[in-house]
Amino acid sequence: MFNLRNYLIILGIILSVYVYAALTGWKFFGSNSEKWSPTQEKGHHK
Amino acid sequence: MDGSEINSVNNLPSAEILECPKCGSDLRLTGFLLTKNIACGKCHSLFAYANGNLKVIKIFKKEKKKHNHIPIGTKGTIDGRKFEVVGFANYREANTPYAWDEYTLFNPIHGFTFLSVYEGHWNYFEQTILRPRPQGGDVNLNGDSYRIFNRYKQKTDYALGEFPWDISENPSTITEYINPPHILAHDKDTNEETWFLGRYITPKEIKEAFNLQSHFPEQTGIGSTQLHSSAASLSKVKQITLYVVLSMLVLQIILSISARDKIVFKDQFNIPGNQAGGIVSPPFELENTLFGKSNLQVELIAPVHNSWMEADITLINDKTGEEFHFEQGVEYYSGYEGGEAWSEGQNYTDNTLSSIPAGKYHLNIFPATPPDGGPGYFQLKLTQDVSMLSNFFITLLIALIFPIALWISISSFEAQRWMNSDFSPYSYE
Repeated sequence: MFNLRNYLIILGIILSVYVYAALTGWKFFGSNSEKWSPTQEKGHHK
Repeated sequence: MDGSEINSVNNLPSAEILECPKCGSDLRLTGFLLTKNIACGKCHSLFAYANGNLKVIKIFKKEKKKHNHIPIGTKGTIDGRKFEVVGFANYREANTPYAWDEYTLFNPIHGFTFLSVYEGHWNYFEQTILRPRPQGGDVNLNGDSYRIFNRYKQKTDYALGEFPWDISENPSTITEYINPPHILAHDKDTNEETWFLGRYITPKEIKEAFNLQSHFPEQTGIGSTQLHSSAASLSKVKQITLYVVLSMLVLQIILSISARDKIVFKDQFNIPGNQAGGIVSPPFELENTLFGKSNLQVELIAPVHNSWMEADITLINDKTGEEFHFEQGVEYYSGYEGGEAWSEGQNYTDNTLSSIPAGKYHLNIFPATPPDGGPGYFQLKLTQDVSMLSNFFITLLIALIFPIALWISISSFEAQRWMNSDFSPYSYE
């Protein structure tokens, strides 16, 4: 059965993630960059 | 009797015992002057009762009898009122197979009330002196609209116990109007009309009311007055959804206005004749932000015509050595075919890189063009912290999934409910 309290909690989480993404430049889908850092295994990237 | 003595189940008045004129078995009389019919469970005779006399008016076929799940004489409490089950009847919609059972309840103060069960769904009815106002084909009672659901003539298959009217012949037309979980039933014959106000009642509520352990009929389909399990929350969900959509719109406007949209790099590069050659861009700076990260929009423009250009690009942090690699290209083709001009592609693309840390960067670019020529140059523009509409629409979609699913579920529930009605607003192909 539907629980209004749980629904409000989920909505709160969704909105928080949305604001966090806006503040950190996190794009949910569509960004096609491949990340590599020197701490990763060598040879991963050309 | 002022009703004060009816303060517990056990204080309901005792039934008077009459002798069945046909078979001699005991007949209970609880409603006294209010009782019009009494049916004998042993010889299946129905009697008209008046002035202490019993006159046989009909004999039911015993094979038509269905099991009564609440025995005659059972006492219980509904809506805080004490009742005794005094009658049980099996009714049928005339000339149809649709049949239901009805229990007659009696309280000397409140009179007769009724528990009706069809396909395992129960309604509790009381006679009302209120007169609903006609509203098209529907009715309105105290500001609430009740939609017409069914209209039929009733036939009695079998009866047991006592009844407040003649159930042997019923020339009246019954019309049901619903506003779930409530129902109005209008009983009209040539001489009089009576209104009954009912409500959906669960088997659990009835079992608790009468302290029963017996097995009730299985529920099938959707009851005419049954409520969807989440129906009570629908108006709140609608309200919350509206607030969420408005909040998100306001948030998105604020975020769009506050986005820096700062061009951190813009340059034009010639494409080397040697395809293996790469280009190293001048360094540029991504400014620090609240969380130290921001998005970066990369725009690529090249004067391609019936050609293409693709670039293998790596964004490199000069301090940490962290790399972000991506490919981006443009293509544009046009022509004239079959008397019509056509074109596809464009000489511009953009790509937004997610969560790039602040710092000093440069680009390594490896452009590629077709061997038989392509654009001689291209432009790159990098903008830090741009507004992301895609995030807004994705979040909105996720936030709307539940309200939409709930709406579909309730709509499907309503369509199923009205399948039992001759007045359904739905079309079932």
